[in-house]
Amino acid sequence: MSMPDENANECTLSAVLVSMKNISLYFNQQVVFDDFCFDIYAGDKIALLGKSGIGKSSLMKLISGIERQSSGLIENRALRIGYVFQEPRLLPWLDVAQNITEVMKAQGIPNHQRESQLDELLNKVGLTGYKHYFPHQLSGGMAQRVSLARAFSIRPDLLLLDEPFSALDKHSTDELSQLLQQFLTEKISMIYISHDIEQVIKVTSKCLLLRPSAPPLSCNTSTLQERELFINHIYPSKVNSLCPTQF
Amino acid sequence: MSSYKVKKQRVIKKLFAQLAGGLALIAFWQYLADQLSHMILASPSQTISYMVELFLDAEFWQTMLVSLTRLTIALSVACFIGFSLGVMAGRKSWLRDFLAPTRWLLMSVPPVIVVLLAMLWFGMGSSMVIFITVILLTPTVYLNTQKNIAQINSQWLELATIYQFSHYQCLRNIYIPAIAPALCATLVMVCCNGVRIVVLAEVLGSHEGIGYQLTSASSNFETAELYAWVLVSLLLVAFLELLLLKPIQHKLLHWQGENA
Repeated sequence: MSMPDENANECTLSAVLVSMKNISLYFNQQVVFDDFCFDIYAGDKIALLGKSGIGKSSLMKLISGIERQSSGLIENRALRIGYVFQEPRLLPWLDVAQNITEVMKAQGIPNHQRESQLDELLNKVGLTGYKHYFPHQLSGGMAQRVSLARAFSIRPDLLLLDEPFSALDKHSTDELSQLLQQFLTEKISMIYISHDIEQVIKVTSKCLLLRPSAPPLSCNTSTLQERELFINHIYPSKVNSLCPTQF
Repeated sequence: MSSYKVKKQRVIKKLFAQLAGGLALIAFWQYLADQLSHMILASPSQTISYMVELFLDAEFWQTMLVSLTRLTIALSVACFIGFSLGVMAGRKSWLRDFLAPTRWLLMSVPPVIVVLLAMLWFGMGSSMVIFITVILLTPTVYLNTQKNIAQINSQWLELATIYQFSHYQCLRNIYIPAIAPALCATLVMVCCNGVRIVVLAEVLGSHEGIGYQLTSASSNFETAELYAWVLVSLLLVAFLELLLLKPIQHKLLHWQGENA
């Protein structure tokens, strides 16, 4: 599987943050990726789309270093990676403050900065009074806010979002999406997995659709034609209802 | 009813049940003492009055110091070796396989053989007692640690990889808290068994310590003294649990609140 570099002209202007060359990944003799090539540039905001089981999360795991590729080369120049999973993944025995500061500590952020940064982050996510609460004392939405604060606490070069709001209700999802937009800066590169196209398009500038037995399809979401074509691949029945009014 | 009152009632009920259980045991002991000769079984009052005499004797505290020192050294060494190897073997399957024959050997060999060999190698005294205790306790700590480390939720380890936790951070923030409930249970088991093994080893091959005092009382037919020392060794276990294990348990499981 290889990706045509459709945005080459735009991309050469900025530095490559993550370069994946000829990546293959097999699980129990089943091919997840074969000869996959993909570059992430500094500042890229990419929506990663595709059916369940196509390898979206595996791609994120390869980039973050959790998973090892069967063959190929990944050059990752991102010094700090923030990751927000579908579930908050807070360590249950650490309180909110510790869950965030331990990550900062691991990234070498000095003690005096940690405290002030923590207060600032908790204020931003609206959890100032919950500093010493344990994860089991928080609601799902609150826990996911902590997870988001934790990811941003290290000022990441690359942010990986793996369906971060899919377990939340509409109200919490909207709140957290707004929060995410507040946190995002131009410098941060991001890969965002979600089945909610509307939500993704608000915060991303590129889309990458992974397809079974076919090369991935990329799309710059700022162009209407490309977007129509792109959405047609994912939700053929929704093209008329979604475009162009809702975007 | 407020949660404080409910909690208070629960604590009172628990204390009452434990007190009732203890009194029932003493009553049964008294009943048996009445039925049997005092040469075989001293009564609770005889035993307790002898124990008070013991507490007032300076030699008693020296004896306790000897046994406690042996126990502390043996427990520390066994826990350190068992826990360190258990953590490593829990993460590395090759080490687990490498240590499997040794673990099997140490857990299968009858304690009496360990005692005999230790007496042969170290003679009588502290080295022998400590060696036996370490050899018999380490595999328990190792096995419990290794099994629980291997079952740690991989999501937490993924988190540690992503955010580049140091080895120390992994140990402090993931491994130890994740296995804390099992670790606490293991510590209770190891402490209780530790007292038993130290006393047994002292009975068989030492000139000082609680075990030696038991042998001495037994061979002199000092029944009250014998039972007083038995009671002392039981109190030692209780104190260890109360003063050492409870605080550790509280520290490790405080985040669970009332469920801890």
